[in-house]
Amino acid sequence: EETQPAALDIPMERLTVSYSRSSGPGGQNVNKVNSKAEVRFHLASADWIPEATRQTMASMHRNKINRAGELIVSSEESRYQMRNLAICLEKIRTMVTEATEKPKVVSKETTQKLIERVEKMNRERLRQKKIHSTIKQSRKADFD
Amino acid sequence: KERRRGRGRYRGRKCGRGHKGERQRGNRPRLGFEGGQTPFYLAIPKYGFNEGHSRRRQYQPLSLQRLQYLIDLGRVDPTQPIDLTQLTNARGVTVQPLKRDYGVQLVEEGADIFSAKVNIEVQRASELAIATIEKNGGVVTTSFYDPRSLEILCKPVVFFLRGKPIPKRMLPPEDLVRYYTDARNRGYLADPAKVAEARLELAKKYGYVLPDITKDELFKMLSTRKDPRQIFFGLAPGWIVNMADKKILKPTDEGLLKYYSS
Repeated sequence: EETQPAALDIPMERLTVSYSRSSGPGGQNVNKVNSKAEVRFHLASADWIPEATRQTMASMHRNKINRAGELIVSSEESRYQMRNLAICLEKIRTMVTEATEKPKVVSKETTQKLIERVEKMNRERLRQKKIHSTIKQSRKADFD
Repeated sequence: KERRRGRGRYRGRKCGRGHKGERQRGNRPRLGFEGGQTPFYLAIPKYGFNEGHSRRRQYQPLSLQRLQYLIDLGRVDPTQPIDLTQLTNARGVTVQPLKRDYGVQLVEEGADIFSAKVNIEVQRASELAIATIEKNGGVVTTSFYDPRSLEILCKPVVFFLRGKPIPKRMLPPEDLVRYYTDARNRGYLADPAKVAEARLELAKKYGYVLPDITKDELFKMLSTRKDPRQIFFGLAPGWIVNMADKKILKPTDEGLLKYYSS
């Protein structure tokens, strides 16, 4: 989390948090206790995320954005509301991190080196194969 | 009374023992016997999972739900710093120092319902529990009590009746020093600046606004902390409490004062 300048500061006032009852087994406790946390925020107007990241997020998480343009993140993994909220915030942070990272640009020299390595391996393999072949041939007793 | 008797059509005849064989005749082999096959409990090799389990440190769990219950019933006073003595007097927890109990640990059960501003001092606390208490404007501290100090803390009156001077609290052993010097656990030996930082960090992680306790009216009470060598809040090590005459005797000898204030 601390790879960026201290964990990303998410302004809580801009988010809409709602709690509801979780699904799954659990008897009376799961029926009564509101432990599923859902966080929504309007992605296009979120100034606390850089513009470019916002675009990437919109395309990456297309399925999590509703018609009104709000990104929805929910969590019902833990028994406690607070922990589920923390998990939602963590998910948002990972989304932002993933969207911010640039694709790895492999330089020309490195690609050339890699191709050369592969070719060298193949040449060596064929050379060894030929040597092995001559050894096997020399064991044949082929008299005229 | 009536239920014990096995007479009558339902509980009579074979009396729930089945038909012939070892079952009816009461001659079944011992528990774990598998008819001659090497039983499970002998086939599996031994490994020291439970080795020394009786010497491990134990901490009595205290859930936030229980704490809220005690505060609501008025058994524990939230306007004073809450200590193990307060909890024991309120019969909220029962600690057995002789059974390798090293104190009380805060557990998250009831985190969603908790809403009380308290200054709590426990021996261990989980992250969510710390976050919940700080969210409601309270203060958590974790501190170490060696078994002798723990016994004195849990049963102060019995100790005072002995007439011996209050001993100084020992510092934690090597493996616990790390735990108590860590700001994330709110250890009593940790740097206060780092503790403040850790509070902010937790607030960001759990998504709540950290209430400013300096502007609180009970700030003085909330910030009272014990000295690392002190066992009780008002008393220092070396003093003798006289229950009969309701007096406190303090040492005047230089050597003793030096020892007790080290």
